Amino acid sequence: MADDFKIAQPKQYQRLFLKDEIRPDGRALTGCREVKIHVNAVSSALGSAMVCYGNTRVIAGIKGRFAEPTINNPNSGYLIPNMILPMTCNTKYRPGYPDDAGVAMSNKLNTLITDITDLMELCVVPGKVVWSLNLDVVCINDDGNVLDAAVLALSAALNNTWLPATRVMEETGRVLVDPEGERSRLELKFIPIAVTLSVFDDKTLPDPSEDEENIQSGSVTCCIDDQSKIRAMWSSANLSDDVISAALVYVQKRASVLLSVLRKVSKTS
Amino acid sequence: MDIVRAPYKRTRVIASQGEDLEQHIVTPGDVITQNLDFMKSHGTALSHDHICATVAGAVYKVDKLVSVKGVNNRYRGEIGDVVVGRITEVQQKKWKVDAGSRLDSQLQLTSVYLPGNISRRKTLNDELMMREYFTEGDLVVAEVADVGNVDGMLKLHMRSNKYGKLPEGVLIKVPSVLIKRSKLHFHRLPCNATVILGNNGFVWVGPHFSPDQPIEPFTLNSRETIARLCNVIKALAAYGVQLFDTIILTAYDISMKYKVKELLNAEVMEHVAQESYEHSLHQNL
Amino acid sequence: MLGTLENSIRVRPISSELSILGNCDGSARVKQGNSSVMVGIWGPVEVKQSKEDPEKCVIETTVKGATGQGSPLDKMYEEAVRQTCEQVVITSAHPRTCIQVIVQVESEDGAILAVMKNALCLALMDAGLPMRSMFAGVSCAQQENEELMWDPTAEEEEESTAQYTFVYENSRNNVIYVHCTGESTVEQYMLALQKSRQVATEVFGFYRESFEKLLRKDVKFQMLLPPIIKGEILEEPE
Repeated sequence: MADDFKIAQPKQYQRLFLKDEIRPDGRALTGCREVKIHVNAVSSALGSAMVCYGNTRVIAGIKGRFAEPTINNPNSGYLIPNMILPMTCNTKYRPGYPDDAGVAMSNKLNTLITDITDLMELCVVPGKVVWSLNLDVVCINDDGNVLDAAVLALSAALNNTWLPATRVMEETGRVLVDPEGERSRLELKFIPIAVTLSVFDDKTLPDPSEDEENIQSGSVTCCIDDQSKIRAMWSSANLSDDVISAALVYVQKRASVLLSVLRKVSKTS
Repeated sequence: MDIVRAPYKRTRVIASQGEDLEQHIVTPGDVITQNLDFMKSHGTALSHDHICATVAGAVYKVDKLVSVKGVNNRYRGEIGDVVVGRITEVQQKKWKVDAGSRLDSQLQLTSVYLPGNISRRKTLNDELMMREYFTEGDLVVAEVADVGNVDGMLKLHMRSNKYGKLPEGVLIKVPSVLIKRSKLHFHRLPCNATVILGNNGFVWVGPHFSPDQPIEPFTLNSRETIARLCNVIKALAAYGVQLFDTIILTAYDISMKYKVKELLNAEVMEHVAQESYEHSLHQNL
Repeated sequence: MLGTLENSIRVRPISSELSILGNCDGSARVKQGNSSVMVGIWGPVEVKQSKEDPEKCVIETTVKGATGQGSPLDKMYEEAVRQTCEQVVITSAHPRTCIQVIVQVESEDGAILAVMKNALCLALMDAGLPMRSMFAGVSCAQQENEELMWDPTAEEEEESTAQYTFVYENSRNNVIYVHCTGESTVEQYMLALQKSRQVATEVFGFYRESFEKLLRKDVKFQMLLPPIIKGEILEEPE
């Protein structure tokens, strides 16, 4: 009976819960779902992480290959992020052409990782061979707030990326991976963390579930890094300045919590 | 089709209102009044405790009814309007007609009188033969039977033998506000042409026709007449003159001193429109 | 137009053309310096049954960039345009229909998202679609010396450390869309947010001027107006 009501009048359903200062899945109004991070989930990748926000699950994997640098930047490597939302993660995604949502998210990830690392560190043979890192982020299950999970997965994966040593063959000039050489860790200038709040009526609810995402009137996503700088902000909700200030305070607190989890996981791996 | 000319200064044909419009022009979100006694019509909405505008335009007040009329308005449709439209789709038991409104209008098979002027229950054969009556691309004239109050979709009917498929002629689209409301829409002009002024702004010009008789083949004269009428109607519409049968005839007579193709010149159009308008004012039409 | 801005705020001259596309229900072109965007709007029109929504109208957007070849940024712009339309247009007034928005970027020289939003607002008003309020886009950039500048050119955007695009609406002066990239502190962000509001107020004044010009020129519109008799004016709005 409650299920029927939820399908027929989803907004009213949500309002009844919010009136009692609770969200339909039992959380407090400012409560977030449990976050789990598992680094090195994919052993064949140079770096990887799997992140769970409640039932939302995202895996990020970093694969490297050798490539030629551009003429303008002969000593810089490439970081190519790609967000994949396959149809298996949610019934709203159809097979075939990549969904618009996936492309938009790829764009956002791309903006976040510009300047995240010194691309010259990815140089192997100056002017000839550089590392090209494919940052693939795949959503395995979409239960809302995929963007936050994707950013956290990507940050965790990049933070635990080890570039293998390389050896140049003198006769042919080919570059090969040297399995006995010492690996070098990819150094990040900052670690971005994204926190999304969905706006419904006059309430801002962090970490929306899929049901909440479907009925929201807008959302605010703010990315803060480990030095408390705003790296990006995407907002499509009608908000007054006070609400934005309060939201930013919340985002900073939440980001520091997530950062400490990320660091703890990285140390033990 | 469009003749490219250097820009020129347009003059007003309609007598200017002379009033300062500034205080009455509103943009979306502007407060119109705090007095909630007014009834809200098109272009307004209740926001918190005041009535505000939702479109950009001028405030139009009639007694206690307040509305905002914007610049571009699609034809809305009212019951009883006569419209000219083009068939866009043949579906099961109905045709879809493009009459210039938001959504394509519907013409049900049950609302159509079949040839022979008999109103009878439609059989399966009729359904299969729908394309024989009207097919995609045909021009038809019909009357509005109903307007959907949620989405504004018009339901058309042809319950009279004056409605039906239109023979070969010319269709001109003018803004629907320029068609003056009158009892008659079918005008058989003395110059051997028929003009149908659809309320939706679609105007059909063509030879005289009656439902049962075959059309005579076109002569050069009849083509010229129809072409002249078309250009005259376009001239009147370009200068915002309301269209009805007498003013079209007046304009036609005034245009006789020009060749048909000269009527496409902007200055000639202005002259014809201006004179016709003044003529009609003098005659108090 | 620039009269009431603080001395530190300089923006490029803005120009607009309304109702330029004959077949569209509404269209507008806005130029700010060398950035130019044209928007065409059709609607409300028929929508396929699979896409229709029984409670409101669906908004479909297409954005074409200046270079002709598609780029992933186009999808981001499409999302931005759609989200702002959904915030502002009263979609419940036209259920089971669709509004199609086509954006063509004609030339890019910085602040392109803000110019796009401005052209979008004018085109929506030109189409006569019911809106809750008007909205204006403001582009702001933070330079290396930590000073803010407004309406940057493409070169200035390249050299800046943070780029902001804010879209404000004029009923409660709230911000309805934010796109911020680069590196900035929370204080710098809030300062940019508050100062950019002044530019939006100027843009709203500009919209009104554009529309008044259009209304006076439109012959059909003159026909619609009854003679306005002094003494029967509504209560003056506050």
